[in-house]
Amino acid sequence: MSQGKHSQHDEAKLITQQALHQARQMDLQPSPYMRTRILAELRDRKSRKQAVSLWKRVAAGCFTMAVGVLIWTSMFTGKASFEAIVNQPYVVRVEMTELQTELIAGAEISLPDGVTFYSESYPELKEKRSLDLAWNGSLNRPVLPFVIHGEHKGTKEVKVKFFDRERNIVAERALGIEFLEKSGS
Amino acid sequence: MTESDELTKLVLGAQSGDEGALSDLIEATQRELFRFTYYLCGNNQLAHDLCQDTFIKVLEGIGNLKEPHRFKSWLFTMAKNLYLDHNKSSKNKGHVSLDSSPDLESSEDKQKVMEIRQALSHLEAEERIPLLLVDLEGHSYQEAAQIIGISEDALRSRLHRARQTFSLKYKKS
Repeated sequence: MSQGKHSQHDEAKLITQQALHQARQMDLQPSPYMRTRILAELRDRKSRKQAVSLWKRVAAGCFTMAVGVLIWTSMFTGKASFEAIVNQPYVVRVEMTELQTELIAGAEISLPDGVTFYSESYPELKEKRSLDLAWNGSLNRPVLPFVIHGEHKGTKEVKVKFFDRERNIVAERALGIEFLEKSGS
Repeated sequence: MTESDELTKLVLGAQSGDEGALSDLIEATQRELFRFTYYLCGNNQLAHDLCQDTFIKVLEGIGNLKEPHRFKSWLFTMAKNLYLDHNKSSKNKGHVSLDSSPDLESSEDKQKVMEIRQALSHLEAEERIPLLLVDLEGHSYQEAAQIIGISEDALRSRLHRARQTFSLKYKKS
């Protein structure tokens, strides 16, 4: 039985190998243009890849430039944006950590129309459009706080200039403050 | 210099960007690859497409081939994978269409090819592939097992089943 299976297996192997050997001997050829087509396709893909790579580099360059401009704008134009409520006192704290505070001897705060200074102790400050502050020696805390009051809805710009002892401008800050209506009112 | 050494030299040339070597590499292997894809799918046009796609994929990535002497195995592995992918698509299932015949001069050869294709059409792809790699293309069991991605024992078992079915159908034709 087992011998029969073996001979059956051998016969199957022999028939298969003979048939496929014949197949191998036959002159079965691919199209004579196949090689040319493959080489043309490879050349085409290569040039497409190079073009894509060039565009990718250009796009990456533009993106980097845009990010750079954005960073530069946010870092060096000194503009900041805040939100406040109309007719409510709003405390502005100008951070001075990036400035050389030992050089600073004073500051001038200028308000736009529709914005006033607010102080319970000195209500007369409301009439001033700008405020000159001077201090002797270095600041204890590198923060300049003041309180303002907005009368109308919209974005206003408060300007702060820092001076040295000779009254030269050391730094400037423009603070964009958006006054919003109180919700529900 | 053996055929294998010659091929390795061409692969190295193609890797360094020599288009002449690339062209010679196709020339040196296209007949075998076409024969394999032809008997694998049983369709002249599809065999050409598979062959062309295989060469393009392999030659595009030839720079990544770390063992140049294994180029042929890589080629057959890619052809097998592309065929199986093609076969996976439901509309391509059922394989062999016998509608297109190869360009052969002798009508006797044409008849023989048709008989072989007919017998092969009764085999599942997983049996047909080892049969063609070993008995048609002359790959060793080890090479064929590597190309298919199975163990040598599994290959022997598939080969045994494939030969039984093939011989039975071939004898009948």
